Parts: sequence; C-alpha cells; structure tokens
Amino acid sequence: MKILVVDDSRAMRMIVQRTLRQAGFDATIVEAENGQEALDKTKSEKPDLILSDWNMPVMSGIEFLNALRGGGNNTKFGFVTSESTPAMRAQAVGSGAAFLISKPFNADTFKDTLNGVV
Amino acid sequence: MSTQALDPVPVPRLEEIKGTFCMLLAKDVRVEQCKSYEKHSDDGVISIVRDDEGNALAAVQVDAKIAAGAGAALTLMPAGPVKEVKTSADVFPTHLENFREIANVLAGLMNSQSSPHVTLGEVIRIADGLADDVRELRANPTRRDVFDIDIPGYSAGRLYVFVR
Repeated sequence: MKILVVDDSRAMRMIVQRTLRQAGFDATIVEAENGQEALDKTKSEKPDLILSDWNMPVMSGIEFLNALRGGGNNTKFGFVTSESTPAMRAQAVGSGAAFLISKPFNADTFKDTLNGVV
Repeated sequence: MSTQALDPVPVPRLEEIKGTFCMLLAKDVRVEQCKSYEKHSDDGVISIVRDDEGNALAAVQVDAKIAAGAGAALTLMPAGPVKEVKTSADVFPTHLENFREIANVLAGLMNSQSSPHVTLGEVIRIADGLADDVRELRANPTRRDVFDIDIPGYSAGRLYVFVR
C-alpha cells in the first residue's frame, strides 16, 4: 500500500507517518508540502490513499481534493486537520473525502478510521 | 463574523491538552491542573489565537523550557540543549518552529459552534516583545487556566491559557 501524506509541516508529516506505523499500517509513504505538490505526486506516484491537511499554502487541502475529483481521480482521500467544524466536515464529504480525522489523534483513531476505508 | 453575542472561545480541557502533547511527542506527558497559582510568568513563549478579523481572543503561554522541551521532543532532538534554556531568548528557532505544531493543535481545540472562529496567529518569544493587544489580553483576561506539564526526559513547567 502506498500512502501520500500532505502537510506543510515536516514535523506533522513525520507524526502522521509514525502514527500510521503504530496503527499497524505497513505502507510506503510519499510526502508533499501542499496541495499543488500533492496533485503532481498523485499523478506520478499513484497512491492508494491520501491523508491531507486542510490549511496549507499554495493550494489548500480542499482545493486539492476538488482539483483531484475534478480531474476524474477517485483515490481514497481523508483529511487530518487541527480544525474540524461541522461545516468543514460537510464540505469535505461533499467534495468526496472519506473521513476527517481531527488532531489530537492517536494510533487507535487511525486504526478505527482507516480500517473501514483501506 | 461579528464577535458580538457569541460565547468566549473555549479553553481546551485537561485531557485535550494531555492528548495533544502525548500525540505529538509520542510520550506519556503528565498534565495536571495547577492548584497553587498566583500570577503568570513574565517570560515564556506565547501563541496568539485570533478570530477571522485578527482580534486576539486567546493566548497560550508556556514556560521557555516547555517550548524548548516540546520542540525538541517533537522531532526526537537531544534534550541536552533544553536543560540550558533559562529564558525565552534561549529557545532555538527550530524548537520554536516545532512548538508551533503543538500551538496549532491547541488553537484548533479553541473552536466551538457558539464561539468565534479562531486560528493560530503568531508564536513568539516574550523576550522579543508583545503587541499591545496581547499585553492587554494577558493582563485582563476573562478567564485564565493554568496547567503543570512534565515532558519525560526533557523539561517541566507551566502552560497558561488566557481568554478574552
């Protein structure tokens, strides 16, 4: 399995990877710093799952998701974000996200959420 | 969005603060409500939480050694330099940048459906100087909560939450 982790924070990308390992997901990890870079890497790397932050420079997570779906790409997609209002959740689901994990999270959060998706 | 007639931003609960530190640092960080608190420290690292109009509605201040310790532990940096931190001026830029991740998650916890939407603004060393609105918030908050934090192997100190 290949997972694309998208976050403008290097530390947070590292933490997501660590949590994936703790949750038992033995995956190849690809990283991107913003939505635009992630869009390019989705095409070149063809990940099975995308875990993306919401607020990022250059291209936000929701803009990335909309561009992805607008281009006909249906790769499984979830948000991992520090902010998760009901409006954001509705927007995420409406745009084609499978889930939204809010921080703080732990390995159990990842297990419970991702096992139903991948 | 007007901030009139809305509730104050919520203070993160103790278990939320603990969960944030434990998640980000992958350590069993001890967090307890401080019971013997008189006045906040004059120095430290402060994270400003602002509404969509830029108003400072809340702030999270930590002792310099907590910012340094958390910043180091976040990316498994050695604890040695943290022990030398005496004031916020001693906090390395890398530690400060890493600490911003913790501040960002804590700011996210300060949103609710009945309060103004807020996001993390600047994260600064108090030694570098504070803007007037932040000084005023620290001096006259409507609510102030204090927590004792112990990051195993790195540092211990206090975390203060100020809400306008």
